[in-house]
Amino acid sequence: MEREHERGFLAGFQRAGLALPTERLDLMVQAYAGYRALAARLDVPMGYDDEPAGLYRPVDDCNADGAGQDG
Amino acid sequence: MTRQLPASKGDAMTLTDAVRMLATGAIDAVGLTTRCLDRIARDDEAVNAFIWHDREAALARAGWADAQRRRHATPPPLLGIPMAHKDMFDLAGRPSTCGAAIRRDEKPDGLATAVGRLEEAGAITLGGLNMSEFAQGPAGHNRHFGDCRNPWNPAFISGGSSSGSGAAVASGMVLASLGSDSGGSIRIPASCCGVTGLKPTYGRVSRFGAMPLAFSVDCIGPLARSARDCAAVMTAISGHDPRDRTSSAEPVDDYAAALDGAASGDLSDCRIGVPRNGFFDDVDTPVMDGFERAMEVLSGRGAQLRPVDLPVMDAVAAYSAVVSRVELASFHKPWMRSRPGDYGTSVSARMYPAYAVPGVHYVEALRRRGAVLRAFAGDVFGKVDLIAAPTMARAVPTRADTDVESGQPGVVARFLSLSANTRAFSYLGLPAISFPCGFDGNGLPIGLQLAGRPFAETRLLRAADAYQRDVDWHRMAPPSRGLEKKEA
Repeated sequence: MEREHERGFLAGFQRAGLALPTERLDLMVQAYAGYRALAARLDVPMGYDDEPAGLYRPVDDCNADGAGQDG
Repeated sequence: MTRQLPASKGDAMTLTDAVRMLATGAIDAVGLTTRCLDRIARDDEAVNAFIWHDREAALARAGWADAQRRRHATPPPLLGIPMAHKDMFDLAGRPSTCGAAIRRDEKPDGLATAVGRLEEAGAITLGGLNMSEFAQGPAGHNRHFGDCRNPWNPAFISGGSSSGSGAAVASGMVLASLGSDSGGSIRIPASCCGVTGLKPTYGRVSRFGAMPLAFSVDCIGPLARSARDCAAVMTAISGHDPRDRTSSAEPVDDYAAALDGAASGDLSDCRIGVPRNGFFDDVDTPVMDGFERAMEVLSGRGAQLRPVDLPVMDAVAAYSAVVSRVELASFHKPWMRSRPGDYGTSVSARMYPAYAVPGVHYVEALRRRGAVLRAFAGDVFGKVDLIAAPTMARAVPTRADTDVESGQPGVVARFLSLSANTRAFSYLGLPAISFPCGFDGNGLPIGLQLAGRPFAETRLLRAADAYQRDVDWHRMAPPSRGLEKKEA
């Protein structure tokens, strides 16, 4: 999981066009892993009633495991 | 036990007192401004509340204010009142450092709407107040301009990010100040320094000319000694501004007048909810003691106290963190690319991880805000008018214990826990006020937080004012720090 977070962090970081001093990498990957743990709550689907403006969202077509793999 | 008497009572003049004294001629604006400048000269070596101040310009403006008062039978409401603001507002050619080395020499030409409205109301701007670098950080550390220190004891944090705003008001260096709040940055320094601070509803006060932190949660609001003082400032600064399209067109109450109505001081129409979940985890005994005593005072004023269960608080904490960090990182991207070494290490560390947060997570965190707010509206504000909780669950910590750059075990958790009780209301855009309700065993203030429905500022101010009619913690002043030296 740690390697996965490191890969995810570095990929996102590269897209943003930033550079990170090597000695700070481990700490920043740890912090990124903390974010991903928080963001896991976003993988719990919303109910239809909670959708902004009642927009359709294919909740039933997703499974919670797959929904967390973006990024 | 909560201390019943502070270390020193001092001469805690409120803004309201000063307005009255100016009106009766008991003092003039030059005398009042000189008094504040003398406090700065006496105590700021130890407190470090100011990044800069301009004595000559302040006295010139005070002289103008006295002349205006002689000319006009009905002068502007804040004429001659000395203030200073978090150093993040455009001030028409004066410095605006945002507490950052990157902006050390910035002097923007524009004038922030909130400051402009205060100056139109007659206020005198003495200078720019210390703050956490780019408003990032709830403790008040600053590597570039020095930490702002708690005027009650400089070894302890002032709270942040509006650190100088809380410390300068508590020290009597100014009678009111503006701060900004994106997760607790008005309420936390108000709590730590023993003053009153109001985070308004999102959009209630224009942000034009103010440095952004996280645009979907940022709010500008007052710190002053009393709720009545905050009401006077809010009356001046609130309302739609065509230059800030996110500012609300909702009608503005006359907050100051609302505190003088027939029912003022009577809270019998107010139901206050005490959360059964979320806000009392790991609460310190002196803080809980102060909270319970405050509830007794509010109950004595007629408030009906009711336990409430707040919905989805854990989820709110997660959504709030994703939204604010990503918006923050977005704003700073050009400097993080070109000048990363000019940020404090702990400040860039808050942003680096956010650049790798997937966009879909940010959008998801935003889209859930409406649902959470609806849940609050029904489950909470369908049953009570206000929510009460300690502004900070723990007693004010030392600067050393919360210095994240020290790398000591547990320091990041201690640092982040400072805003645990304030962040949710920022994410939801709800108004919240913090006011002092006692002192802990170290002689540091304890804050009580009340939060309400959108645009319920009047109700919040009325409740805080009712409390302050019975209890005078807000009039306590820290001892002079004149003989202490500011550390390098």
